[in-house]
Amino acid sequence: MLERVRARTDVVLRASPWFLILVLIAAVQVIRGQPFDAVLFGVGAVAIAVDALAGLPARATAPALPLTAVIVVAAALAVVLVLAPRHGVIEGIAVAVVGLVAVPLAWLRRPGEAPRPEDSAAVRRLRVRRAAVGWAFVVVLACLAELYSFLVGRVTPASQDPPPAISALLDPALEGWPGRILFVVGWLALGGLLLKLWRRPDA
Amino acid sequence: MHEATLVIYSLCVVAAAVLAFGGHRPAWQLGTVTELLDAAMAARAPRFALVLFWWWLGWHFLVGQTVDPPLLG
Repeated sequence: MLERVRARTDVVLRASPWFLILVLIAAVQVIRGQPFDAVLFGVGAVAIAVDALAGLPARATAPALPLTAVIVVAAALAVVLVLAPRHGVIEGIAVAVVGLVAVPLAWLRRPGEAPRPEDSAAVRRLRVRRAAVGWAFVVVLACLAELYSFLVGRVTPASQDPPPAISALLDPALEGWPGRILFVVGWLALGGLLLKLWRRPDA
Repeated sequence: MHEATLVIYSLCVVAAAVLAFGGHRPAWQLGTVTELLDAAMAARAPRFALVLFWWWLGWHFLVGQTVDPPLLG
């Protein structure tokens, strides 16, 4: 009984930072006046909280697909996302379809990975922890700069040259082909790296 | 502040490149991006949060309102 409570507490503590991150992002979306984005992250935060507190089953694994199939689908998506008018209906449908597939799949364990409570390689754990600290520092710094720029930019007239948010910096680049292609390919590649739906040799 | 913000963003990009490069240098004893993602994605909470944010980035830049106009003039 005590072990179960301890294990559940551990799960809740590990999930808490991610819950808080989604809550903060949802709050920023509220400030932006973007209800869809706010609800998206709010629901995500609730889902993480419910999962951590209720201990929903974690045995299900996402399907493992042939790498060729993953590449073909990604390439087809890339063509649509690059050619369709930005902020248009077709673009919206394509991105929505990606989300409807990818986000539920994220709820499942990635294919080819057996459940392991702890990595036994201490050295590898230390290396990963060092990388995590480094990347966390970079991400937090970028997010703070972005948040500051966003908040100041909202209350500063454009004529006074407010600090730029990342979105404002990248937006012009996405209007041109090179920037658009780079973003779409990078976005899909990152999604592939996160989900890793292809069969691995050891799977 | 405009220039200072750009400097901070640039520093973040450089730092990210250094971290990504350093993961492939055994002497640095730093995990690679792939190792870090594999470790993070092993648990449901980070996996779900990261994929949700990743998807939102696509929505934000390709479909939704990317740039927010100032509330004042």
